[in-house]
Amino acid sequence: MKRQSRFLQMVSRTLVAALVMTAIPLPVFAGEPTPPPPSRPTLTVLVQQAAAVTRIEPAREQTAGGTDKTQFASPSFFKKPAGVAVLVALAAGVGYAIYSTQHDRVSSPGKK
Amino acid sequence: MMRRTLAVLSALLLVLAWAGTANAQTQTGTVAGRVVDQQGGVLPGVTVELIGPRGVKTTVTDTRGDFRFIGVQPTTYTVKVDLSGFLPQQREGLTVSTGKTVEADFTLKVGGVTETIEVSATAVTVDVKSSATDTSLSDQLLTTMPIYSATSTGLLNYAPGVNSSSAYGGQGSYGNALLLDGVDTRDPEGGSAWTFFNQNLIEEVQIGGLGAAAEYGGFTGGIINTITKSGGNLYSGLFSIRYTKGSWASKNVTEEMLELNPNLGNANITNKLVDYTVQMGGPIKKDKAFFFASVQRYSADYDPTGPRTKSTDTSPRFNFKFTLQPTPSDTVILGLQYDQYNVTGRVGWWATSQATDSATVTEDAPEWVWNAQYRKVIGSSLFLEVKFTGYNGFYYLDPVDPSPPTYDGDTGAYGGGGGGLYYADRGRNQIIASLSKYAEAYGTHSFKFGAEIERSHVRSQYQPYGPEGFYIYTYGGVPYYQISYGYDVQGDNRRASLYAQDQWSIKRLTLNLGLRLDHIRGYSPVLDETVYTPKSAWGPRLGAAFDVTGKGTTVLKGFWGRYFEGSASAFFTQATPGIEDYVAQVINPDGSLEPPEVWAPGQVFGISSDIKHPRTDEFSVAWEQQLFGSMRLVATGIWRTTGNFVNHVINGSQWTPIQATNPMTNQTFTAYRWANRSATEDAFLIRNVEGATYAGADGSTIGAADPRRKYRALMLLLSRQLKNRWAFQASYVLAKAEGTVDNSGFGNWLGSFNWNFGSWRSPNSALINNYGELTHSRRHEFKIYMTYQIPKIEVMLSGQYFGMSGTPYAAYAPVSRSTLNLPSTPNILMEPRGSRRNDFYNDFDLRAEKVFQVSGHRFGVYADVTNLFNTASVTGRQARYPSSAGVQFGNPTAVQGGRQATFGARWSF
Repeated sequence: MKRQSRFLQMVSRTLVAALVMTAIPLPVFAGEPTPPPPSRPTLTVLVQQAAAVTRIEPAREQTAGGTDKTQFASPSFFKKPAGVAVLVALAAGVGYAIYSTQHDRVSSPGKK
Repeated sequence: MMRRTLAVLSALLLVLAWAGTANAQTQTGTVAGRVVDQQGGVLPGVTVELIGPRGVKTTVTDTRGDFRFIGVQPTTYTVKVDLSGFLPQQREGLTVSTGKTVEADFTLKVGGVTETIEVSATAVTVDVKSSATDTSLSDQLLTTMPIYSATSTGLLNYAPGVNSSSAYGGQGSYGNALLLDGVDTRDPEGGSAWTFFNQNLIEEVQIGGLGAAAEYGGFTGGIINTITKSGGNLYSGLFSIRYTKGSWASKNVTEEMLELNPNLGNANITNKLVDYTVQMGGPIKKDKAFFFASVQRYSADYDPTGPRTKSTDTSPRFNFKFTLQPTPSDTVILGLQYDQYNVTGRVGWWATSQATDSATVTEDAPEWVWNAQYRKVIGSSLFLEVKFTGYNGFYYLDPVDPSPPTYDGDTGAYGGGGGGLYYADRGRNQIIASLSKYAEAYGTHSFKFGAEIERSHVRSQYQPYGPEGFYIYTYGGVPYYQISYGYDVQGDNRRASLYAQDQWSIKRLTLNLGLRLDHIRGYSPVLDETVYTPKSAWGPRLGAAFDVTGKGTTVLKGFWGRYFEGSASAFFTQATPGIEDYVAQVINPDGSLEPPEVWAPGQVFGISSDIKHPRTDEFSVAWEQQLFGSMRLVATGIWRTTGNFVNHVINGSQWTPIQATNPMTNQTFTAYRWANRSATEDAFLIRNVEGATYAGADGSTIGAADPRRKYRALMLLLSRQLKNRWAFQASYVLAKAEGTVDNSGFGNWLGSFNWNFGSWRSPNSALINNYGELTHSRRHEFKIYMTYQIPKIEVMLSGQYFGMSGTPYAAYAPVSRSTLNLPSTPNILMEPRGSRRNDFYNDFDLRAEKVFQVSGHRFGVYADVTNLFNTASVTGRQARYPSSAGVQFGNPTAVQGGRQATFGARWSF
């Protein structure tokens, strides 16, 4: 019963956390100003937009989703804050795993 | 031209055959298409670019307007076509899968040269040329679904028709080919999964085994072909962590169940899990050299089922892959993995349901896995691939309490110390070469020739009763015997394989023709001689696929083929030295011991020179239909029969029929007493069991061994690609696996090394109630995956439901060894095999993930809930009659895991 109530407690906390997170606008995480809401496009604009989609110059290093990933093509990426965070996370993860190979090792007397 | 091509291919085949031999294990795909103008006229000389993560490959269309990229690494590509005077076109998002051909046709329009028209790819979901039925688990699916498995066999279970690692009725765990980047990751002793891996490494997993081409061998169940990620021109990374704890688990065992078996009160719970991955890939030199590295640390603390309270697993794992492309047509790949498994609280000699913490063993298991590959694309029609792969490792089990354990023959209860040490050393090396050739003559051909050499080494040391070297047999709690036994055996597998196959398309009909030859030998390093010499295994593969409508949306397939089991030292190690005598000493009431008595000598078994390697014959038909653009419906009928079972019998043994009592019915049945034991107890012979007979005391035949296994199934699959925010895959399998050779457990595949049912040593186990439904026979199986991306809040909701018939079982009872004049007490079936069945199994798992996309970075936080509805399907029941260790016949001994929540976070770019 104790486990059951703990589980329900955990589920309710998770739901609250999820609601809070989903309620926060994405740009807050990006640290960018919130853009003004776009005005509703006219039918003509929609047609023009549709036509534009079929005539685009390909960006060779773009993904199918069209996200600009050119920042990941150069080592200079690692000089930016995100790149530094990547290096720190890598160092921490690799370092702890190497430490684990020694610290957590279960050594069989058969190999001693 | 054709003659010249054939001559070149023959020469290359000879070279490969001389060098060794081949095995395909495809790791690449093909992109092909035709370019025409608006009037339908073919356009030769069109420049075609295949733009992928590791640069651009270029070709031009031939006189028929056709182009082809072969040896393409599975991932997503863009194809761009360009011809002066026409508007260039490109098609993005073409996903290339392992062993598949992606068709990309273009119709060019007259126009300028500076604009590019982007055309949307029609979702082609039906392969109209293949005779195989297979399932792909993409990186996307593995990321989306609440799926986690660190082994190939674990992932195998997510495919339709596969349960408890038994694929299409085949031997659970041991009958499957497990390939990781071309490395055969099986234990060369028996074929179970040896190498574990990080699921985050996977680019794609292809699960097959139905209608498999000749390039695939070494299985009688299924194939799991796993391709790992590689670095590219863009830096990419993944940082992920999963976490759970005991209070996030729910109890699902009811009070009624607890009354029937109090041990179930200790449900299997993960008290703590911390599993993180850091990985990074990118360029060393643009378009030329790339790296990919991944590090994982998996740490789990369990409260296992039964009296045990703690079991831990801490596994650091390191992967590195280097890819070199000196030219667009040459690729060199070097991969390396090092990992450790540091486990405590593992069950050793005791029964799992009874094992206490002090009765467990620790596990020390590090390993190195390597693969080196060279790929060469020659023109647009020839592809050469050469690999050197292998691994080396060990796993050693040591008892926590090394004092002798006890076993009570009356109650089935264990006691005393944990006992038992097991030391396994393994090594495997393989050289693999294959050559693919696309040709045209009376249609189109896609030839593939290959060869493979395997050398694997096994050493297994077993002292099941601990360093003391014995265990105590009690009866009704009174010490009766002190028994000792153990072994130290070695065996090398030496295999050479050759195959040739062709995918021959004539208009709408494609013939998939192939032939595979496996030459398997078992060598004893101790004897310095080859002891296992089965006949050469010829495996024909004949398939046909017909594009019913000619539109590439409907295909009718048929296949007949023969698959042979992989090499395994367990087939022959009993024919090598190293097995100790099975020695017993009577324990007197004052504790003193009588002189040792050899119950079963540790003799070297004989082995027949006229032996055939185990095989499965398959006939399958399938109808595959594309529906509404992005949906696929597949109906497959499967017939499989397995034979050439290798096992051992007692040559010249004679058996006297006697009357024994069935304790369930109190009726008598005929059992058999070993009449000439002293004369034949060292006459064990390894052979194909088919044709073996059992003789009475007067020499007359009292029965014949009838080893067989057959599988029949109808498999329905309906899937929908991700479109308009949702996708699903639903399957239903109606199946039956039956016979006299079970598809569960190592012992019943190669033959039990005891006197219980499943063994062919005596007519008691071979002739009494032996035929019936096998352990992994699930009459009904439902597997449903569904994902939906909730708009506005951008939360991905994914769920999977597994529902299937419970596993069959049957009552057995021990019959006194003295009555039957046997060295140990056998368990004999008291009713036909598979007479009863466990509960229908239900499980629903859910994942909810909130994703944030920020400047090319993807952040996801998710929650997994396994067994959301906290159901308690009984997965095992007491089959020993009338009881064992206080649990009465038919009462539950195992229940599915309860609900558990796991939280995770991922950052990728």
